[in-house]
Amino acid sequence: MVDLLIGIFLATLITALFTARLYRLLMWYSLNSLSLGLLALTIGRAQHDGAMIISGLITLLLKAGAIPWILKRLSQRFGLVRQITPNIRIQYAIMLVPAILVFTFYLAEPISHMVEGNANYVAISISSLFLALLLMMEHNNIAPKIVGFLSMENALFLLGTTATGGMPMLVELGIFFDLLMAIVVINLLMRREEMENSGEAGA
Amino acid sequence: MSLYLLTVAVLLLIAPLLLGVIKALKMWLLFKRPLSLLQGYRDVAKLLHKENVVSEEASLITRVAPFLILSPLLIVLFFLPPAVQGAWYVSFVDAFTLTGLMALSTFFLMLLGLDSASSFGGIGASREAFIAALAEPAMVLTIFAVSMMAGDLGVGQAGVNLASRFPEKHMASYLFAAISFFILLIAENGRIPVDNPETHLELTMVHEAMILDIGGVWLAIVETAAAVKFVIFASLFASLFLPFGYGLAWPLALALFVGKLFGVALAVALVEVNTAKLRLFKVPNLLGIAIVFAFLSLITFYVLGA
Amino acid sequence: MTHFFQFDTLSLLFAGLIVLGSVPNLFYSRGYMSHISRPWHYRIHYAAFILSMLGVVTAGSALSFLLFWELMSLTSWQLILTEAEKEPETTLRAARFYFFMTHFGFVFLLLFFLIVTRGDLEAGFATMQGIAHAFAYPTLLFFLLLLGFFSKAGAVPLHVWLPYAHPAAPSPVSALMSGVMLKVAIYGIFRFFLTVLYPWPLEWGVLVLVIGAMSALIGVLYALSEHDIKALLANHSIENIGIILIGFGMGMIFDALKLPVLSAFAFTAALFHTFNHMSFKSLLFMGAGSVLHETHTKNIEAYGGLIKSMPVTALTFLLASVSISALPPTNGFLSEWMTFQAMLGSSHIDNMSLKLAIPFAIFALALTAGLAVACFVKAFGITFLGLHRSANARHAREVNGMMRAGMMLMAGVVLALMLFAPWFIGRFGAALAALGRRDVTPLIFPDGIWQMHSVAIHGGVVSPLLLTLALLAVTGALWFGMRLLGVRERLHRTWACGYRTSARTQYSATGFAGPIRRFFEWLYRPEEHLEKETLAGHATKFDRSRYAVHVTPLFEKSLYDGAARAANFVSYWVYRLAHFEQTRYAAMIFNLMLLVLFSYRIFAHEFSWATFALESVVMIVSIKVLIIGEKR
Repeated sequence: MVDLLIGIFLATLITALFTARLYRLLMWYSLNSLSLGLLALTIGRAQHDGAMIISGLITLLLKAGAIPWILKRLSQRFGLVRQITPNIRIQYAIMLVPAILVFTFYLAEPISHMVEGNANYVAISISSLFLALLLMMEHNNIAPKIVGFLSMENALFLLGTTATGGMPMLVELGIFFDLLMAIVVINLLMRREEMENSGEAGA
Repeated sequence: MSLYLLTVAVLLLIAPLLLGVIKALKMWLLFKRPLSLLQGYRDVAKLLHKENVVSEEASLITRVAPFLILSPLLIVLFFLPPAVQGAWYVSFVDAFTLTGLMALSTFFLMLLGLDSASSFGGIGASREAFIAALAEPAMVLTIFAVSMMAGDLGVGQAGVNLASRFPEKHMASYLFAAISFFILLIAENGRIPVDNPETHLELTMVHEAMILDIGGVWLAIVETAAAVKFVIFASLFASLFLPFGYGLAWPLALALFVGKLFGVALAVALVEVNTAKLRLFKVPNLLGIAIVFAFLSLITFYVLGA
Repeated sequence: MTHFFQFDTLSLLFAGLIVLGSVPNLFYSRGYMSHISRPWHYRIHYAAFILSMLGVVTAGSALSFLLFWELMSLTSWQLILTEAEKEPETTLRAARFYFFMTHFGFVFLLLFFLIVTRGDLEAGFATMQGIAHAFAYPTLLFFLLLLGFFSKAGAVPLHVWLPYAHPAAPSPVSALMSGVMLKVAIYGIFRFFLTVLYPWPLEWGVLVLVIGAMSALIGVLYALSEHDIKALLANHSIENIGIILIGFGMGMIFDALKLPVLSAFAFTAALFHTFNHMSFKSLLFMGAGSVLHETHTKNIEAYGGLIKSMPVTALTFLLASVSISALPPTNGFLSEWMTFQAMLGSSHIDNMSLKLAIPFAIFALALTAGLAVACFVKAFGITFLGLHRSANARHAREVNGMMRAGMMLMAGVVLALMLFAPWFIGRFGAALAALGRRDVTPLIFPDGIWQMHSVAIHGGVVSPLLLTLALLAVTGALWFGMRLLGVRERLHRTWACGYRTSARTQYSATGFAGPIRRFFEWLYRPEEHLEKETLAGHATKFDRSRYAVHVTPLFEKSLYDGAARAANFVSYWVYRLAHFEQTRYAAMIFNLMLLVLFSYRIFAHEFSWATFALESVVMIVSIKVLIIGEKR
């Protein structure tokens, strides 16, 4: 079950890399978070870790539900461009994505030996970290950059849950607060971009 | 042995029905009055009574190609994993042979398109060559990855192994293979995001453009080949990625298997209703996802064993 | 005691390959003679070429090997020049390029032999093995061999001469060069890797595998964008050499990992593909030669509809196309299948770099197979189907009997390799057994000739005979069913929306490969030319326009032209130095003597940074003042 959820996690992230529509991208992000939340719930139940279950629930509510919805509302309010063609062309991306994965699998090999149990999960979470970075790199628009940032946070969360059997509750809560703050900052950024855009349009 | 032959016969018989079901489901979902499910059989019966109209420019190839389009696919039908426990099956045929046989069929389909000297045939053949060239590696990699997870390179044996022992250790690569294979199912059968089987516009057609200039029995053969190809893909999907219910009593298991095929048809119909046809040069984006997932499936299995 | 010749099993195997490749070619060549303006020049070099290839594979010592190797290169070079008066510009250029490339490789082979024989060129292979073992830097030997043989075989990045040399040669010679001569280089690889250089570290195998995978992909991609039918086939030779090298590289990897059975299986796959490529590539070049003979053009866009006037050529070409596209049940499919199975036998190897390299190679091979199908649909479809695209194509007739006999014989070889695959694989097994490898034939055919097994655990099985029979039976049944129905047939015009279809509206080769070219634009960097005729600057309804695309050969541009530019730069300065008045020469000698003395003092006698700096300053000043002089 854990394997399946991690598979879905990586699959949604990769599909997000190829997406050219903003709402589709948000949907993939939401699915990505959904699989992450379910993963946390599964592991939490298996380990009888109450904190993990709580953070999984928060993930489900916040990242799979609220944040995509907020982002969609924001993008509607500011009239952001919904066509987000990646800068990296598909021909390169076909080569690049497997190459990144292979390379991180290769790099993570010594690290994953340090972790007892599921060594593979570490490799997958580190590679999804890189993929999320790639998502940020391949877009000029601000909205997909934000999604990339959020996916990066997801990847870190995955690393935390799978490798160490759950981060301390305090850290996780801190991260969630950071996320909320980030949303506020993003709101400001978008407003600024909108102002610049309208300024350009006016000029 | 008799169960084996029965399965093949059932698959062959329901081939036109499956495409009819997709069409009817789509019409129903679009609030049109659905056509009869038996329309596929009626079309074949009608075409069998017509004379063959051949292009003046056509050569020997047009007279030979339809047979060579259908016969490799018919052979593939005999190599599929069994639907029912205890049935005899061909265990050993591997992914490269299966895709090779299907590529043989596609090869002659493209030649057929080029033979009549019409620009439509050229359009179709060129596009099909483009799509098939990108789909073939993904297909080979996907089936190989799944059969390696199942522990046997023979596809038939892999199907049986999967049914008895689900690869829980390899869920991640299994999932990637499933995604990739579903995209290929759509692309290779010319369903909507890649090709629109219902229109005859030069902007959209791929498969239809190649067979524009043949008629009568030959058209019946080629249309049957298209239906058989869909059955092959659907049943590969059912036995490799939905491997449950194999051990039931044989009438039940067979019925369940056919039910899975209709399930695949339903999924395809839903995808068709919900997506728009892609521009030809956007098709590689879709196939690119298939290639990446096929490749990932193999790599994840190879490197991580997950 | 060593012999000038030796006839062990590997030699005989490759001698058999050369005979199989040459005999049909002799017939074809006889028919082609009327086309050749200097028959005796051609005959002499043709005979010498075949004999020298036989000489290379049966050579028993370094001297005879090198002698025949060089003879082979020179005769083939002369054969390229046979038809030089037709297109002097391109032919001379191609021949010069070929001459340079083949001698580039020869230099490395010579170095290799000088090292492994310690200067005694009459030494046999067994002696060489001892010396090579004792040699301190085996990797140097490996690279010398790699450069020597790969430049002949046409592996990336030493492949650039093939698309020039093959089209320039007369067609029977292209068939021989591509079908047989490249295989002589493969023989060299087998001979010297398996005996002289053995054993090898893992990295060598990985390198060969990577080169093979790259050659396969790059070959097929450039083939797709070609309009010249013979250059298209030449690019496909690069692809097939790549597939052979993938098999060979896998064999080397398995051997380094102490997996003798899998290793022998991979080597068998490589040998099998060597034979298969010989058969279908010779046949394709003969078919292309026949078409060229009748239409007098190599441009694929000027063909079309040739199947009606040249049925024998068309059908043999179709057989070879199906085979080279690796479609079942043909021989090309069988050997690619074996290569795939060998690669998939590696799943339980526990070595990180291999786990990364092999999936990439599997992917490259699968993509190659897909693109090859597209390429040969284009090659066959545009050449033989549809309407005639030019007046030349309209006047084409079937070629003469001798040429037809040559093609049919070669088609027979293709079919024999498919139907008697077990027998051929038995021969390959015997050749490998003679080199001290496992003979895996009993493992491939454990229960008779009907099924071909992979030797990997839980590997696949394929059965060429059963597949062929099944295809024939099903097709026959369908055909019989149609006869029973008694269908009438009616001819009618092709539907073209009410217009007449014409040669101008049907798809061209450029158009056919258009989508794929667009997808791989980043590799091709195509130059597009669009010319429009206008009427005094006004666009009218009756304008003609011409569209052409030329693909930039990336390797030639970057690697070779870069080297050429560097050489130009150096030679410019040498030229500046060389064209001085006589006093300057004296000054140069003066400076050279100074340089020798100084460097002796510095490097041999005693070294100190201070004197080195001082002396360098003196040298530079002296060179500046005496040789270069004032700036004009």
